[in-house]
Amino acid sequence: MISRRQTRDMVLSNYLQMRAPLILLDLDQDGLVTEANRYARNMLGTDCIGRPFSCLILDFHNKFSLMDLRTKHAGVLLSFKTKDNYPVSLKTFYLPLGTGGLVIGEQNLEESEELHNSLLHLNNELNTISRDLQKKTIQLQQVNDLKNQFLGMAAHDLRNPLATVYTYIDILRDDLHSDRDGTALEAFNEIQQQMKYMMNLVSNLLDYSVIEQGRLDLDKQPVEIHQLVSQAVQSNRLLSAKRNVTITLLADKTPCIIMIDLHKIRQVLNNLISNAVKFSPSDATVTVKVEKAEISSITISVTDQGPGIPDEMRNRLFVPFGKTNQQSFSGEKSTGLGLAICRKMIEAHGGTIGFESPAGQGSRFWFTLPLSATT
Amino acid sequence: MGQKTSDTFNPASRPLTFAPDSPDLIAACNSYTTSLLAGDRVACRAIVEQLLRDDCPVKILYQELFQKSLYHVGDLWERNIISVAREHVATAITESLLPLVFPTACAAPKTGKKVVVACTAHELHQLGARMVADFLEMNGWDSLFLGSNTPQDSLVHYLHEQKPDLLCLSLSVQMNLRHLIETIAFVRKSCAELPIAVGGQAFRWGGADQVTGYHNVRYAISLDQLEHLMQP
Repeated sequence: MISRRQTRDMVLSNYLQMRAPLILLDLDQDGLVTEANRYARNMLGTDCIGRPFSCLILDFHNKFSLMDLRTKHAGVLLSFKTKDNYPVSLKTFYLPLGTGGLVIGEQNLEESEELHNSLLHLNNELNTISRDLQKKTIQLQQVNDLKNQFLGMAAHDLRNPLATVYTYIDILRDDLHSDRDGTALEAFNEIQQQMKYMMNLVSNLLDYSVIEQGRLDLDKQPVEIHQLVSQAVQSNRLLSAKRNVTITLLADKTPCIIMIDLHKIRQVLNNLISNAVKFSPSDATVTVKVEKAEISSITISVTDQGPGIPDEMRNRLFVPFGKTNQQSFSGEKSTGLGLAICRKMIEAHGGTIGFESPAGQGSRFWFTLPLSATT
Repeated sequence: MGQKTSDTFNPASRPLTFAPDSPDLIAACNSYTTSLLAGDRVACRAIVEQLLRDDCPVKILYQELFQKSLYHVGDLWERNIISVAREHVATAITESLLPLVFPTACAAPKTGKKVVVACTAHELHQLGARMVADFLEMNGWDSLFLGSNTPQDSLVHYLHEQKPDLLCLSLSVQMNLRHLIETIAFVRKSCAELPIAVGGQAFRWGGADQVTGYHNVRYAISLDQLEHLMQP
């Protein structure tokens, strides 16, 4: 007489030659699980033994019947509840065995193969798109590099002839003896004004191209900051006198030496102070202040009494060529690069730059320099 | 994977040499393959980054490191020494490292020639084709990579749009050979003179003679041979 166990093993052996099931559950005549293979115990939990089979599945439509399963020879797709409470879909068969039977759950190979192929296809598409994007980025970078190189070369080649023309205009102007009504002198002044603007523009373009090419090297040295600011104020006295604007310097007397690129910070100071003077009305005061508001940095600010920055211009001030449409009181044109260059120079020092401009109350431009670089 | 001299790749202080049989390269490749089989993405990336820093030619990286290691992994899988999961991980790691090398490949001066690189219909393994596309980019071609499972209609439409100088078709799995032949026949109906190069791992088991019978279709057994085919 062959035992149930032997029958079970024979049935399984025949079955397994053709298929590769994942879970095997022995059921008695009442549909209770009496045995489970290792995979079933791992997936469904060891407590699946002794429980009704119907408790192991997620019966979404409340229609499951073991009797139905017994009659479906082609198998049924059932969602099993794993021990971690997430659903796993298995193609489920029932093999009658004595008064009970074997439930065999196997992976739905078609579905999983389809899923696998879909995932593979999506992954491949992602990789292809990523390659395309990377290639376009590289091409854009190459174009940008070319543009910067051109900018630098053009600015460099323009600067020398401009300087020469400017010098000769100076010489010619001094030689104007026969200019009785001042027309020629006025013309020369205008030419010189335009030349000065072009030279500033070319100089700024050169600086900007150096920055964009990542060649902004800082030549740091120990500098007493109050002295530097004082010198910058002095060098703008002529301009302020012409404009009838007073520059006031507020700073404590405590020496403060920091490691900075002297020429670049001087350039930033000159830019902010001269802007403040140009955009101030006659009889106004420009205040330059040096203060150690925080323990780790020093703040230098330049405050004017001009018309302030209109709302629509605020986001463009530190952007290259993002100049405001405002006319300065001095009539000089802005190149639109000065503040962008200042920002790069300050950021290269590890500092920050910004402004405040309440409506109709003038503007305060400030920048910080870290004190961690003190000697 | 060649003569085993060392399993550990330690960049020396002396200048490294990267000729195909050089000890430095063999050491790097052995170390890389070991890490690849272990699924160690971090270690693989470190080796590639070090080789790039040491100015290892990109062509050597592709042929000696990536290609040979993947062929080795494929061999191990076919002999049931490793599972398909490990093979997939190795492919995924390699594919994730190609973007590290790509910018160097793109830096080559352009020849003005254009190539379309695609896998045939139903062919889901695209890594080989991707490497060919990058290799051609290194040689100054503008390579347009279409990826896996390229339907015939889409391919021909794209060829008419881009008018490339060359079409490269990749075959990794032998059972897709008939799809490759169908694709070539389909392309030939509307692009009679377009040079076509075919290649891929599947051809190790034969089949090249079934495709080279078509007009102007050449089989490239290796990246070196493909480079030779590209010469004017």
